[in-house]
Amino acid sequence: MWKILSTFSTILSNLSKKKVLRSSFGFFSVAFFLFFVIIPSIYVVTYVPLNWHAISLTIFSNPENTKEVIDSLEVSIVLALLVASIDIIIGIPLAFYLVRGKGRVPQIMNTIIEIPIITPTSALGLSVALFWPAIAEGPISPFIILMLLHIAFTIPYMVRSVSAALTDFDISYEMASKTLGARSFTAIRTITLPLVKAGILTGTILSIARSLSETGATTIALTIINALGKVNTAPTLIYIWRSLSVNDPAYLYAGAFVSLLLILLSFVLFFSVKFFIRRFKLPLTKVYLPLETELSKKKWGNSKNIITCIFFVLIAFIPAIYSMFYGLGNIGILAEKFTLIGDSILYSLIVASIVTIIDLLLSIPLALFLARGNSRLKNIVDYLVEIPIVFPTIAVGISLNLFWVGLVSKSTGFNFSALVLIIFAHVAITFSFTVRTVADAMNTLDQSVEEAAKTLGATPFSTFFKVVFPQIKSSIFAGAIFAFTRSLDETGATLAVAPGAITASVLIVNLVNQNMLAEAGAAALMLTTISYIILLIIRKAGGKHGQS
Amino acid sequence: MVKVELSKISKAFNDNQVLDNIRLTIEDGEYFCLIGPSSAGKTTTLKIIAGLHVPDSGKVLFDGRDVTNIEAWERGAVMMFQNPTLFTNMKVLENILFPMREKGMNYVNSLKTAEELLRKIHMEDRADAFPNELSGGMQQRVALARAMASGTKLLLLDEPLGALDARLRLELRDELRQFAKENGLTVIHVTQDQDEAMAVADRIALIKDGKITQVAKPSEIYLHPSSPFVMNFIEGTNFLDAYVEDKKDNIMDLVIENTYHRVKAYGNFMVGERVLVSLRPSAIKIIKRKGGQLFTQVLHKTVMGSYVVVDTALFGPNKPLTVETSFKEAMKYEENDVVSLNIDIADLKVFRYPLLGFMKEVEVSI
Repeated sequence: MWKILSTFSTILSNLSKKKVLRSSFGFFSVAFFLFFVIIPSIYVVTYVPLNWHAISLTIFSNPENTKEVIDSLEVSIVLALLVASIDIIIGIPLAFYLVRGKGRVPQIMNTIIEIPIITPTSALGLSVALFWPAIAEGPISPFIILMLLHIAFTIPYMVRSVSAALTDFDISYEMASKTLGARSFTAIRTITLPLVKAGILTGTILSIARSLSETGATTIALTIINALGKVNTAPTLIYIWRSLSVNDPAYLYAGAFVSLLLILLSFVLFFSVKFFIRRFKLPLTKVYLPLETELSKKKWGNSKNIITCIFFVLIAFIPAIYSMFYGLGNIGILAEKFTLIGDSILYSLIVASIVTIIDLLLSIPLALFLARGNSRLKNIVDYLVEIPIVFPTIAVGISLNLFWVGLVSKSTGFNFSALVLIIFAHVAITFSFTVRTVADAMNTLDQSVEEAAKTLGATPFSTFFKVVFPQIKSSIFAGAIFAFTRSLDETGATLAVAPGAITASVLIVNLVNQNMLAEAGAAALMLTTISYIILLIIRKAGGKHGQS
Repeated sequence: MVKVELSKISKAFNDNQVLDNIRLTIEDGEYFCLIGPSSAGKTTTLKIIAGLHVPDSGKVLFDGRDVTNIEAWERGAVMMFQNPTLFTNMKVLENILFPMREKGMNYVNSLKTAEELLRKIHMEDRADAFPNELSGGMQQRVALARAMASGTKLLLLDEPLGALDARLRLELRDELRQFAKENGLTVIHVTQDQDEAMAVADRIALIKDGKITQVAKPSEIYLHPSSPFVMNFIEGTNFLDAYVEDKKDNIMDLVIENTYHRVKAYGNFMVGERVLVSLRPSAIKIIKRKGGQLFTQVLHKTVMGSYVVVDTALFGPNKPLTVETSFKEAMKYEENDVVSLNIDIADLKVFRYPLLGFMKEVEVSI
């Protein structure tokens, strides 16, 4: 076995000496990215104008549908902006506490901060919609429920982005300003915050993108509180119309139209937030001395820490794990429905594994192309990689369905199975993130190390595997974890691209739709447990490699 | 056994001409230093020799063989950087084994070679250490051993001592030269530190704005710098703006502009021509008693240790003439004392006045 591997690596090493092969390897990954990610994802943009007649017939001739489109977009916009604002207000102080705080509590918070992200969103939707009415002992307005839900799965992104920026931040700037007489509150406001703005921007964009695009948890939550159809976000409206389109094809056009609007909305919000945060300046020069001296006192700092921690635990952490307890309460049903639930989870695991493998195999060459290549194509691809990150996933699902089923299958006669379509969709959604993670890691490396290896006689292949790979391994693992969890979790795109397929997340949506909450709880329990275990295994494996 | 020739090498990055028609020959076994201000094109030259950059035009020859299009990993010219570039995931021994593994050499022999090299750098007891457990100087030694393990006869050094502290830098630079000579290596050493270059090089090339300005032995470049820039870069000097008042044979009478001082100097410039005169601080003798050529007042003394830098008011208080003298001598007078200066006619170096102006000529950073 070892001999085969080493022969194989010698062959690859020799092949990597050929410049033609190296550049064609890069171009192959670019071509894959364009034909399997970018073009199918934006196909809906050309589809809508081409089918304008049918669309206007369904939507504009029907005032009820027009109103639904406008209302759902309004809910989506208000929700995304509101959630992002709350994330900023709570997330930034919380990030400071996690990075700078001393003692046990920040450590514990650090470990639980990602729980709401690694909890499958379908389970999270179930949790939030069951937890809050139980606490309030009565119905809560659907909008409030949605807000609580969206804060739960977006706030970890904000905290993580800001704390990453804060860890890189050279604290001596802040110390210098303190020795110059700045109160600690003023120092943070005027020196630190402007310098970690990039982290805040990333966090805000991720929060908005996730909120605009979330489908599964939102659908589940609205169904449970009996509000689906009464209050809609743009993704849930697309979901409803996509379900209706199975019987009435006219709704396919309507769904495509809303998808396009949602994509445009994402871009507008994305760029205006980027613009706003770049331009936005805190009133830097003015110092409100009495107020800031007061705020710099320890008691305010402590109460701020306590408030943000309680907020996080209450709004994000407890609801995230509540479905586990709910599921445990209905553990008997799990045994009853074991084959149904087990099959769907197995299906999801197979999809997630294939997606992760495809992502890794093809994102590494593309990341190499972006971080080390000198082709003129590079700058364009660099921009294109950003696009799918902002795309709402259900819109990607609709677009992919129109492209692969509506266009490719029809013109070639080749039918894609649901499994293939779902894999295509999940790759389209996760690929850019994996590429970004790996390329960013490569960009931070000192290139002279690779140059030294080359002058010592290492071919490009061995330079990559013996020198570059060990240094970016943890980022590759991070990319893999991301691809795997997102695929396991993804509901919107799965429903849109292949409505008949039963992944675990889709199963939970279906069970909730049939008002089988206990069964849904059992499925959520099993899915959540399995995601946690798999993440733990991947992390352990990554950690072990990292040490040797 | 490598003789390196660069023939008409040019290279541009995004319309920025980094190297302009470089020609150089580095002899087999020579310790050659490439010096110049930052972003003059030193590192680019080195990377072109290593095969990490391909020149836009021109050729690289090793022992007369054209290697311009041969990739770095097949060229066998090993490069060392300011960052020791040790592979952090490998132990010291594995780092040294790396080039031999890449060349597919026999493991037992490789291990022998690696152990021998570890002994040479006095680190046989650190074979199992990871690079981040070593000091900067040790890491650079391991990098040297690793370079040697590849069996190369051509070593390219890109400011390898730049990140080390001053004392260690002196120690290692001598070690490097000794090592190179013992092993018959051809070395091309890029540095910004002219003292380092003067101390170790057989020959020095000075590069500015992508062009070679002078190639010579250290003593030669010190005695006969080809331009005011070279003069100033090798050792800071006093520049005086002057014109030729009279000339007999090759002895000129110069009038230092804006003053009434006249000095004699060797040179063949025309009467009335504007020239730039260089007078090294170390070439001026400063004497407490009256009776020398030129009287002046001491403006300021700076004690540097074994020597003292004395600013004098020969050309007025706003354009101090700098003199270097021994500590013992400098203790004989105080600030504001009147002293006399002795200047030997042979120490005045006269240049044609730079076309683009004085500042443009001697500026070091862009």
